[in-house]
Amino acid sequence: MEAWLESLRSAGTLGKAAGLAVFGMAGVFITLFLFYLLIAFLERLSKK
Amino acid sequence: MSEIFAGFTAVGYREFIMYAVGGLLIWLAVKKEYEPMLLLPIGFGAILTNLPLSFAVGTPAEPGFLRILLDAGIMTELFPILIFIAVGAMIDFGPLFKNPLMIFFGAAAQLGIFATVLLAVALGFDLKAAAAIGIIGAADGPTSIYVAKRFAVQYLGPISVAAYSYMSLVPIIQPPVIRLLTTKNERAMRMEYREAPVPRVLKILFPILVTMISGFVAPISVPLVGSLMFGNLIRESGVLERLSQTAQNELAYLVTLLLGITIGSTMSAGAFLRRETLLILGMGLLAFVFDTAGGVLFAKLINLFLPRERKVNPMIGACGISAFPMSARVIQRMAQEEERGNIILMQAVGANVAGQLGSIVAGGMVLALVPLLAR
Repeated sequence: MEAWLESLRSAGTLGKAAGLAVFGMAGVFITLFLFYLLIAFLERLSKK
Repeated sequence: MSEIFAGFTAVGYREFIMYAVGGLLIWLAVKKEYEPMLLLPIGFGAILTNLPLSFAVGTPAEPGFLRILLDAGIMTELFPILIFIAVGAMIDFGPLFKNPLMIFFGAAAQLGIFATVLLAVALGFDLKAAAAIGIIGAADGPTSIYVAKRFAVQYLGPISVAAYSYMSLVPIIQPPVIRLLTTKNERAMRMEYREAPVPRVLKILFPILVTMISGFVAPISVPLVGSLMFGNLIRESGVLERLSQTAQNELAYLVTLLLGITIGSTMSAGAFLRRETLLILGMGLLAFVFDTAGGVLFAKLINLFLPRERKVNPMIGACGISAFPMSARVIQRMAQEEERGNIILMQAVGANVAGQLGSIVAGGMVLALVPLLAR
């Protein structure tokens, strides 16, 4: 992760923007997946 | 003698263009009812700030009321945060809890943000400015203002105008993009909906735990997520009805009023009448197009893996933007047009609510990643 970030920092602006797009979209999906798991967990919890 | 007529001699044609821009925004608000609560104050603020000698704005040494509002409400990020509390108090996550799969459309429809960042960089903007422009694709005014203030305060006016204008133009922007990417059969697809009560404990714990997860994933996003979820917790707690109503009404209206006229005050002729403004308005429109395409194409993608009875109408993907409830209404209307009696409103609302979550998470990602990359 750190190595990727380091290589992106040394890239041009377009490369940095591409890195932002990849990491950004991945981050949004991962975070919302965590929210999805949270909803599933809370639903189960509330049924017990 | 010249001092007596300073009001006439201190303006040029650029200021008159800005009066026309302000007038146009007021016309859109009054005649077309496009986001009138924002566009009308922004339009009037734009006129105020371009009047001769700009006494409403003043100077740093002798600030006028608009500069005081700008310093106190925008530069401190207070107004967007207060708006988030109000919005949080208005959101009902119930439709999302009943169909949690919809949450992924709230992620896919953020594609416009990042596609627009790439476009902006290709057009010559630096990474920070490009990120601020891209966030128009969040279809979320306060997030746009928050990020623009951090990364490109010089473009605050055009970014805000683009964000709010295109949010109100969702009924015009989304349908042609959806029709281009879907077949008639796909648009007519029905979806099963099961009505089930949402446990209160889920409604109460969700805002608290979402804030905590966001704090761990992207700590910088906590002001955005935390204020939204604070408003939602007030709503869902069930014991703060008056506070909830105050947040949804008095707080929302008062801050919106001040936010609009303050944003308008950033639209001085010198700051607004630039080539970049036209580029930002154009890219903002494309951001909404990319958002819609991202959501629809993602829905088509997951349909490849879902069993027949659980397939989703691909139009639902387009509701993953934050423009609530406009996008859900548009998609329901389109579904009805394709096949009478086709009701997909609740799924659409679920995706739309997920879009509100997705947009602030995306805003948080941008806030976290840009400083790391721009070092």
